[in-house]
Amino acid sequence: MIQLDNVSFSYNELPVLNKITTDFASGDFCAIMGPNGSGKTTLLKTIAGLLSHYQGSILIDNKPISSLSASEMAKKVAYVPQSQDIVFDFTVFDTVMMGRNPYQSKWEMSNVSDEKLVLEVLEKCHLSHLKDRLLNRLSGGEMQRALVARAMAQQAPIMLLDEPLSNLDIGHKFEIMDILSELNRTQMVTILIIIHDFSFAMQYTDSALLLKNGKLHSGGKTKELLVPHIIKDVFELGDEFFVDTLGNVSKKTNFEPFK
Amino acid sequence: MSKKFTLFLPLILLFAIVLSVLIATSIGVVSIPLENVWQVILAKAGFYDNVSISHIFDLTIWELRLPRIVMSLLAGASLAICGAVFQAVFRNPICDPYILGISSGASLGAAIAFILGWDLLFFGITIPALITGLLTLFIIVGISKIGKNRNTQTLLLAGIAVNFLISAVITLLIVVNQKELSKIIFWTMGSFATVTWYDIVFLLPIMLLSIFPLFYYAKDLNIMQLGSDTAKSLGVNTERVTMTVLLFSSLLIACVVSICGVIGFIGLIIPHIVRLIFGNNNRRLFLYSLFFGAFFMLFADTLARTIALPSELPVGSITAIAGAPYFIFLLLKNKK
Repeated sequence: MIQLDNVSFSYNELPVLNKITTDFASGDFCAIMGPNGSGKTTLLKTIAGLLSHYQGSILIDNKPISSLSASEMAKKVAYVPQSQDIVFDFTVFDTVMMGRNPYQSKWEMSNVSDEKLVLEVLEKCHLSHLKDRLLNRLSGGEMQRALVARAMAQQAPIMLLDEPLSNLDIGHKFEIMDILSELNRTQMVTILIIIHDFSFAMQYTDSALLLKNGKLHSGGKTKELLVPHIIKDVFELGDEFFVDTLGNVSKKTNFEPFK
Repeated sequence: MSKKFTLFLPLILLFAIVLSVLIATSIGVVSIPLENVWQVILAKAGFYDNVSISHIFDLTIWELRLPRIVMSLLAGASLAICGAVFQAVFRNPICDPYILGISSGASLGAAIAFILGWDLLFFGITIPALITGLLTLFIIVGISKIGKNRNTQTLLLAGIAVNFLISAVITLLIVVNQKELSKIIFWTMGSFATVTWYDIVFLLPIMLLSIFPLFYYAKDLNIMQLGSDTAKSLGVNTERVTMTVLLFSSLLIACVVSICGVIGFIGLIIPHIVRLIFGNNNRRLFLYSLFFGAFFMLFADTLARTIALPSELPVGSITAIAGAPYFIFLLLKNKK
């Protein structure tokens, strides 16, 4: 479904992605992992068509993304960026309705079928009771669910999420991953998600892609890939670190190793 | 707010504006009965024979008061909608339509025109002010387009830098030409005193032309509030939207400033007042900013020309004195 061939990208001559070649099958639930600065966000943005000056080729359904119009691209790929400040906010309902933009004309704000769909999405994301609340009055977990709901309303077959679990407590992390997992299972949506939590990656995703210094370190099935020696190598963890088979990391000098 | 009320509100506001225009026209150094105001307007439209109305009244209403009243409505509406656009584009609540330096550019043209004595020529201050205002806009856009990273922050910073530079040049010009000091200062404070019907015929088509793309892209500007990346991923061409709305709103601002000078406050405060009442949806925000801006400017100008009769106060000071306390009241009310 998504094919990357020798994709490279530089910010002001500084290489961030270096000849990435990989592909993602339809219905894949893939964790993109790697240390800070390894190029995860740039990779996701490049696939989303947000960065235009990349080298190499990116195909979605065998078509180069550069040949797709902005609206065609929006119907294929939904993107949830890292959380950011929103100065002039809208209600949860209006925000989720924005996900229908690729299907609407410039003058159209909503229609009956879009409203029905948005209400269904809000229900799935447990946000129905908050539909009239302003975005900035939501808690972190609610806000993240609203942003995921907005992407779901886009009804794109591919969803890219950039660290949707950051700053969330453990309960809300599970909530978000459950929503994504159901979306992947029931609607065969291909999901690429940047996460730092190995245990969540192992519990929820089918495959993983590990990046290091802008290069593809390794890729494959999550459970086969996230093994202690690979994790230690990617994140450059020395001998004082202990990684168990569930991906939990502890520092030997601080704690007793997990048994 | 119920849907029915939202549907009728623009009509109610339109009716209120017409009524306010009639009342404002009747107030001034010479008080004119409302009936006469109505009769003169009907007569000019060809619906009434005005032989019974005195020539002085006819002249005062049609040549002196109505042009400035209509211009105050147009200028207020333009400044308010452009303020709302600038705040939405830069996602910054302290932006006003003058932030890019268009007004400073226009002021530079006006200062040069005063110094060279062009204010007495047929094109007056308007044309030089308009030319330098637009020139400033092109310089800022040109600066912001240099390099790969084109974003609204670069545009904003380029605008602020050019704004400071031009302000400094104006100050220098004033220092070396102190004879024209009062003229330049009074012009920059804004006034509708010299407005004629020609100014309105000049501004109105530009205003209509400029407002259309603002409403056309209002929905895209809503989505851009979620961030540029999200907007792009939703099919919004953020660069095109930004450049189009900034160009048209700047053109409108340059025209308004070249006619009436720099009238502050309205472009900053009216969008906020409208936001507090109607929310952040740009389509509604733009529409009601037009109405509220027009209303507020008419109110301010009527006060400016009547409060200290027979002299006149700068309308900019009235907009600030009348608007600031009301805005603080709304802010406090909203906080509760």
